[in-house]
Amino acid sequence: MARGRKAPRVAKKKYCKLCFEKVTFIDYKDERKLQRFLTDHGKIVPRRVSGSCARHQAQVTRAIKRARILALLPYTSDQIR
Amino acid sequence: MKEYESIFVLDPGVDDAQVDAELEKIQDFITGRDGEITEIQKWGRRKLAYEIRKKREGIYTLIRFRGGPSLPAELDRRYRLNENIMRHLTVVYEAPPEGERPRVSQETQRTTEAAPAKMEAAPAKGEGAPAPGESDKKEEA
Repeated sequence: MARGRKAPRVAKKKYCKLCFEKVTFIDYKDERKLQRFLTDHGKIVPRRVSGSCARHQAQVTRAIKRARILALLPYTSDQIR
Repeated sequence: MKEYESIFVLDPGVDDAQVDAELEKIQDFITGRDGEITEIQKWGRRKLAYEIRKKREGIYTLIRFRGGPSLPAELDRRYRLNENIMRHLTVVYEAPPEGERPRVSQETQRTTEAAPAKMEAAPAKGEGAPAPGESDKKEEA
């Protein structure tokens, strides 16, 4: 199968944006900054997509989950339904 | 004693005087159990990210306090008994690193004493609340 395949797409190397920005503290109250780690539907962007490192992904995830409890961030988008 | 941060969201049908009354009750509850209040922030009315009890808005208040290990659980129970409180969250306070501005910096009331003086400013914050966040965004850009 592999033989007949087209030229593989060369993916750009992913990197952790938060490491790049040297972010050390992620605040669950700052829903604007957390928004970029959510998809349009309100799901948390997985590491395989965002390229986040384990530490930052864990921090972001925790912050988003806290923010969701307080309705600062959605669990899901309202539009669909 | 650990420092905790607690946010509760009141039903939007609650009027301003009652918001202050509720806050006072919570404060008394904390101090009555040897807690020490270190900061109060009234975020005022804010849009909810999703509907709660058919409401699209809530009145947010943040309390930071020091207290014993059983206090958060007791406070939690206290919140649950109050029907005006739609959502609440108490977590161990993590101080942001130096130089990083807290989210609602400008209109923040640092101490309990300062709170009454700012009460008039609180209702207007419904529209004003997004403003500090917006200035954050500009800095990012």
